[in-house]
This record gives sequence, C-alpha cells and structure tokens, in this order.
Amino acid sequence: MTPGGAVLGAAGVRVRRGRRVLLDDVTFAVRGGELVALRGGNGSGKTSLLRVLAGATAAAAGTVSRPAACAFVPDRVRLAGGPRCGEWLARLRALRGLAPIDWAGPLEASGLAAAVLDQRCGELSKGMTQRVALLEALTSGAPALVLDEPFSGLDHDGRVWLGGALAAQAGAGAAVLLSDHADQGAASWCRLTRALAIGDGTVVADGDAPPEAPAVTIRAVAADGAPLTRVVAGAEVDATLRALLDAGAHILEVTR
Amino acid sequence: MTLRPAGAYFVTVAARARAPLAACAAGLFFLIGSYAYPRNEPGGTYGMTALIGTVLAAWLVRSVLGAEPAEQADMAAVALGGRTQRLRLVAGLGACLAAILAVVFVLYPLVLLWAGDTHVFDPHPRVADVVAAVAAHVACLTFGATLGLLFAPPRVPGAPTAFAALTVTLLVVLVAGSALGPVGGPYAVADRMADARPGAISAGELVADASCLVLAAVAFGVADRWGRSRGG
Repeated sequence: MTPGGAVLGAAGVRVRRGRRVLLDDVTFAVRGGELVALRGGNGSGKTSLLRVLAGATAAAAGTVSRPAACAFVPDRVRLAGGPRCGEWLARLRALRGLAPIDWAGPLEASGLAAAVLDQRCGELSKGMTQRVALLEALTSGAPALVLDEPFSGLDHDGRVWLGGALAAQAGAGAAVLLSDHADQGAASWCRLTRALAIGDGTVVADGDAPPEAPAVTIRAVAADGAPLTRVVAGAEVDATLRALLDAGAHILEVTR
Repeated sequence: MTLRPAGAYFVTVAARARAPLAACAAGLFFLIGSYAYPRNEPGGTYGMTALIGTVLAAWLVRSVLGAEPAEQADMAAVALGGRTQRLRLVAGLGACLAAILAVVFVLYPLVLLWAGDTHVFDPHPRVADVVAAVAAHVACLTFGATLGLLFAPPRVPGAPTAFAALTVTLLVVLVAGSALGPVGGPYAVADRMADARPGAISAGELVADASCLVLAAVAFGVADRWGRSRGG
C-alpha cells in the first residue's frame, strides 16, 4: 500500500499498447472507502490503465501499488463456454485462496436465479455473464476493486444492484476504481467520491465528482394494474414520467 | 500452494472445452503405434518418443491455454496476484504436465512388458535405460510445454496462427538441432539415445537433456518479454 492510506496507486506510470505509448507519467492514488470514476474518450487508454493497475499486465515504466488481493472485471466479460457458472465461481474463489461459499444468496441479491449455477457460462447472456463476473469480484473481499465500464452491459435493475453493491463495498473500506463514460452516468447509480479524467496521454484532472443528479425511483401502476418501479438517472426523470403517463400508467411516487 | 487450485482451474476450463482432446488422442495413438511392432531397441525407441513428445506437449499446452478467453485470463491473473504470478504458475503447471506425460510415455511399454508382452523390447531395458528415458522425456516435454506457452494468448491469440508458428518453430529447432550436435535440443536427445550403450547413461545424453532445458528457459524468457509487449 502507498503511504497516506492509499490502497491503489500509480506513480509516473507509462502505459503502452504495442509500441504506442498511450499514457505517460500517470500519478494518482485511490484510498480505502473511495469510489472513483476514470473518464476519457474512446481509445484514451482507460482500459489499458485499469489492466495495469489491477496487475493483469505490466506498466512500461513507473510504479503501481496495489494490495496482494485485488479484483478486476473487464469490459465485455467473456468466460470459457464449457464450465458451469458454479464451477467457474468456485475455481476463481479457490485461485484467491478463499473458502467456498453458498452462492445462492449473493446470486439472488444480484437478481440472478440460483439455477444459473448449473448453467454453462456459454449459455448466459452478456448481462448475466457480467453480473456473474461482478458478483465474483464483489464477494472476493478484495480491498481494491478495478472495474472497466461495469454499468455498460447491465439492465436497469442490474445497475441499481451494482450501484448499491459498490456503495456497500466503499462503505466497508474498499477502494473502488471504475471507468465510466459521462453519458453512462455511473454517478446516477452510485455516489462517486472523485472523478479522474484522461486526456492528452495522461491524467489531466483529479477532483470531486461532477454534480450529477442521483438516481430517482419512480413507483407507478401500469394500465393493466401491474405495479412498476423504475430507477432512472436524474436527467431521465421527465422522459420516463412522460413515457409512463403516455402508456396509461398511474404515478404513485417519485423519490430521490 | 496455489498450484493445486490453479491446476483445477485450468483442468476445468480445458476439459469442459474438450480442448486437449485432439492432442491427447494423437499422443495415445502415437504411443500405441510405436509399440505395436515387437523388439524395439530401448534407447532408440525412447529417444524417438521423447522427440515426438516435444510436439505433443507443445500442442497440448497451447490447446489448454487457448481455451481460456483473454478477459477471463485477465480476471484469473488478477485473482492470482498479477501477471507475473500467473506466468510462474503456468510454467509450474507446464513442468508438472511434462513430468506426468514423461512418466506415461516411459511407463507404457514397461506396463506392456509387465503384462506379459515380452517382445516389446529387445534387449530388455535396464534401470539405467529407464532413468535415461525419464530424464530425456522430462527435458524434451518441458521444452515442448514451454513452446506451447510461447505461442499461447496473448502472444498469439489465433489458434491457426499459433499452430503454424509452432510447426515452423519445431521444424527450425529440429533442423538447427541436427547441425548443433550434442547441444541440439530434442534432436540431440533422440540422436544420443539411439547411440547410447544399453544399460548406461552417457554424458552426451545428459548434455542433450540439459540443452533442452536451456532452450525451455530461453523460450520462457521470450514468452515473458513478448507477453509484456502484447499487454499480457
């Protein structure tokens, strides 16, 4: 760990992809309990930097500090199709040197049925695969979580679950670093501590997270009488309300 | 300590994908075919199985590592503590696999002999011949396994490219080996064992075995550097 309570840190890190230098002289630290977003345009080097910080690949120069136990979930999770989901979770946990756990509870909390454990990884949808990978990371007890665009492949309920889970991890003292496009609005699903911006081949801004509206929960009754719950980003509230009303729904409650 | 869970992890991924099936089947047919004919000379036959074992070990390791998608490999590497730990573990598992295959390759004809097929070898192998055979197989198969690692993702992601590269590399190693004489890797092992005096281990055999291990170390170093440049 780096001094000052930092759990995850980079000091003068250079990130290469092939012969091309993507990022140079990257220096920052993420402390325990922080939930930090890493932002930048396509091809700016977010994914490469996260892989270096997590330890999946080496930095071309500079020093990376991270705890021995770290969890990483890449963007577009792909798992070997053959093993059953339960096998994969158990094997990953064993690689970490952790004792087996009963996955039924965590799976249910994430919105997945326990039957998923018996399904082959290749049979899962993109979102389900991502939930399984995130679940493995979230239950690993690692003091540092490095997540590459974790909200992008999830549906609405998945984002709500992940937002809550990440807040809980940070609340328990873990350092959480996630990459995020501003329009995906991670800040809508969880309360970010800071946002780092990548530009011109290095980290150009390191400050408080921009004030995005937190998630808003809309409870309604559909035209056929079925109860509805929608959790949406602040900017999407008006459009969602309009769509619900147009569909004949009756709005019961709008809460922040 | 992590070798066992790491082994279980790779076995699960590879076995479920049936990835090692072709290499295992080829190895089995090769072994059965090699001893289908009677009166095999121990040194020469064991030298030949060690040489072909190099190819099979390379094929097997590449198949196993290729069954794991890159994203999953990243997650596993981080779970293990980073890319260096993963590379060391994979190398350790490759060495274990080479040792297991070596035992199978050496024991198979001895089991036939024990089961009553007294014509499998002529003359009958002595203890020194078996020890020399184990050393030769471990050395050759370790080199083969390291070649499989060298051409595995992320260095060479595509299986057709990897197998083409493996074939060319093995041919170059064999041709170069015939020119290098006693330090020519697997070729030298086969050559020295064919010329070995029955019931004795020659210095030439040990030098040839050592040359395979040196080649394996070089291939591992290249795999590490190449992996870094490819982001793995």
